[in-house]
Amino acid sequence: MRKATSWVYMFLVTLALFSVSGLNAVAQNQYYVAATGGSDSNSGTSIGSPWATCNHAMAAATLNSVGAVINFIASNSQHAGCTAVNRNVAAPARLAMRCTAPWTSDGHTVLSPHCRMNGPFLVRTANRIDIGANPFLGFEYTNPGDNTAVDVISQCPGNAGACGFGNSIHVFGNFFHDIGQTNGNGCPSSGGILITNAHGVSVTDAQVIGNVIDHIGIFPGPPGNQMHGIYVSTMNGQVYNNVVTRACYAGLQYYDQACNARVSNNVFANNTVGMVYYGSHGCTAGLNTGDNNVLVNNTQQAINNSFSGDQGCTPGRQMLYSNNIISGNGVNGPTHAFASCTTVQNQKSENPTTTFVSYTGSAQTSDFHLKAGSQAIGGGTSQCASGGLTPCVPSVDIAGNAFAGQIGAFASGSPIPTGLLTPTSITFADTFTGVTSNFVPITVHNTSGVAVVFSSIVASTHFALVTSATPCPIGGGGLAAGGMCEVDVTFSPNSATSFSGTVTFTDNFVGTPASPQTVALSGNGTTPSAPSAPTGVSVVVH
Amino acid sequence: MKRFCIIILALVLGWPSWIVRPALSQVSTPISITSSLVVSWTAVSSADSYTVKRSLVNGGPYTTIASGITAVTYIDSTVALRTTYYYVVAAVNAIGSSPDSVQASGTTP
Repeated sequence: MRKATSWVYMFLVTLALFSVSGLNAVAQNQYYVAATGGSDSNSGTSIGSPWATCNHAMAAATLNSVGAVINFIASNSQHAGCTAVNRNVAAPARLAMRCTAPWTSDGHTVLSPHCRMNGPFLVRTANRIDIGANPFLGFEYTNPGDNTAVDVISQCPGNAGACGFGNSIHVFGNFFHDIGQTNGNGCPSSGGILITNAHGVSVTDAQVIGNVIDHIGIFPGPPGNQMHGIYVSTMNGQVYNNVVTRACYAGLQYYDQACNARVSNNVFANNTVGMVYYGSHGCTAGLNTGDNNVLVNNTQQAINNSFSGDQGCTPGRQMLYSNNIISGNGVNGPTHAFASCTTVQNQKSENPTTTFVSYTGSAQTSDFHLKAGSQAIGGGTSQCASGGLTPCVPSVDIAGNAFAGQIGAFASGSPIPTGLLTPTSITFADTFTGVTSNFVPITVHNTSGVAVVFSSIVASTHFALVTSATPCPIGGGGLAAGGMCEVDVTFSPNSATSFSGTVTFTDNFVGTPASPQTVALSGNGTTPSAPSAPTGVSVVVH
Repeated sequence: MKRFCIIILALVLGWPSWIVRPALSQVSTPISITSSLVVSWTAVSSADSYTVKRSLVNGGPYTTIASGITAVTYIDSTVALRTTYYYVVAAVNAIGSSPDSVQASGTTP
């Protein structure tokens, strides 16, 4: 019996592990690389028999159709750099590199052991490569004498045109800092993470998510505009949940092929420019989204939207900037007036010392979690450029926490205001024209641990709100945690026809439902007349 | 169990003298029986209230016994025993009253 129980337990544990990891019937091939004690003559297939170098792993890993994961064993010593990432991986497989332990648990405290590299990731004749994993299961690289931490080249060797390389490169969960200060160039054409199309080669699906980058090039630096924290120039790219501080030029340069791009929930602070975001080599500009970013304390502009008149959108292909916090920059706006195909909405202004738990101007010493009371909490959006790729904002923050409706890369440590509306729709009884119906109550229950603050509650035409016994407060301290209030709504048709409308609650709700919430209303107006006689009359003895 | 058997035996063979009968005062006083009639109908969407009318004669005329009723049930407690009553109901709103409903009847026990 005990043995049988043990087998059942093992089966369930195995089932759970496969469920958690999201693996299907066939797992990826697993390999291991050690900073010390490994040998490229080993099998590399177990922690006890690891390879010694990343370059060997890149060449030797068996991919088949399932791909492979190269597990770098966390260590207090440095791993050899990945200077020959040259695997042209065929879909659906991927070749992924990740550390066996996170480099941080909170984004600002570096843990040991983790995976430190003594050289960069140089991706040349390769496709479908993952460098690092979220949350924080990437690599640390620092070298003031180097130009880059990740350098992806999409052209053929010798820059001899397009060879179909550099597609679907994903850079997740890394910590790159103090690069490019002593190489004599100051602000050369490179950056912390560099995934470029070399101006003209069509490249797609770059994903740069969950990276922390600080001090790239000399900052404050010499004149120059080519060294960035992140430099992406591929269409269909996603740049989410990154923090970049002290980049010689831009926190992010998404330039040259900004088409169907999504740049959301990043913090670009204390660089020369917050972000460069435009360009259309090899694609038609537009359908780009820039939501929920924090662009603060950059010495020049918050946004560089044009070097030469190209504005990142074309008529009918919108570029959307929505719900970004922009404050303390040399210019709290773009380098050029936005074109009419660009929509800028719901932008906010807030000092970073108000937004973040602590702010020093460096990602290595700041805590970019959101501070209680910040506009960033619940101030975000999920709206995407009209016709653009969706979703365009991340569903989790840099640490993997639920993250709907917030601005910045780190979720708040504070409770999130949310609640319930009951009912979600109301159908009124038929009501005579010129007559106001009896009210129907809508109950609001604050199910969170913090106050829900309503900025407005309004009913559309032909419906009206009447004061309830427990009215929902507008402004002020709001509805206390766990509290309930009631909104009473009436129907007043002015003609004998059907009417529909809403009661709209605008508040600081986050998540589902996010603000504004609506309760659907409907009802029929009828011509005044005496009622018809009742039917179904019956009498019984009581 | 022994007591239960004795009672069963007493019921079958007759009450023996050695078993003490319960005193009359220990028996509950009979509850007086009253009755009422419950009138129900189907709601009318445009009605604000209802009027209930009653007659002792089949086909009326009817006398209003309740008005302003917002429910769809009325309990008529002002009834005599072994009597048949005839009811109609009218719906009312701000514009006026509906015709009387079809008659329904009930007889008290």
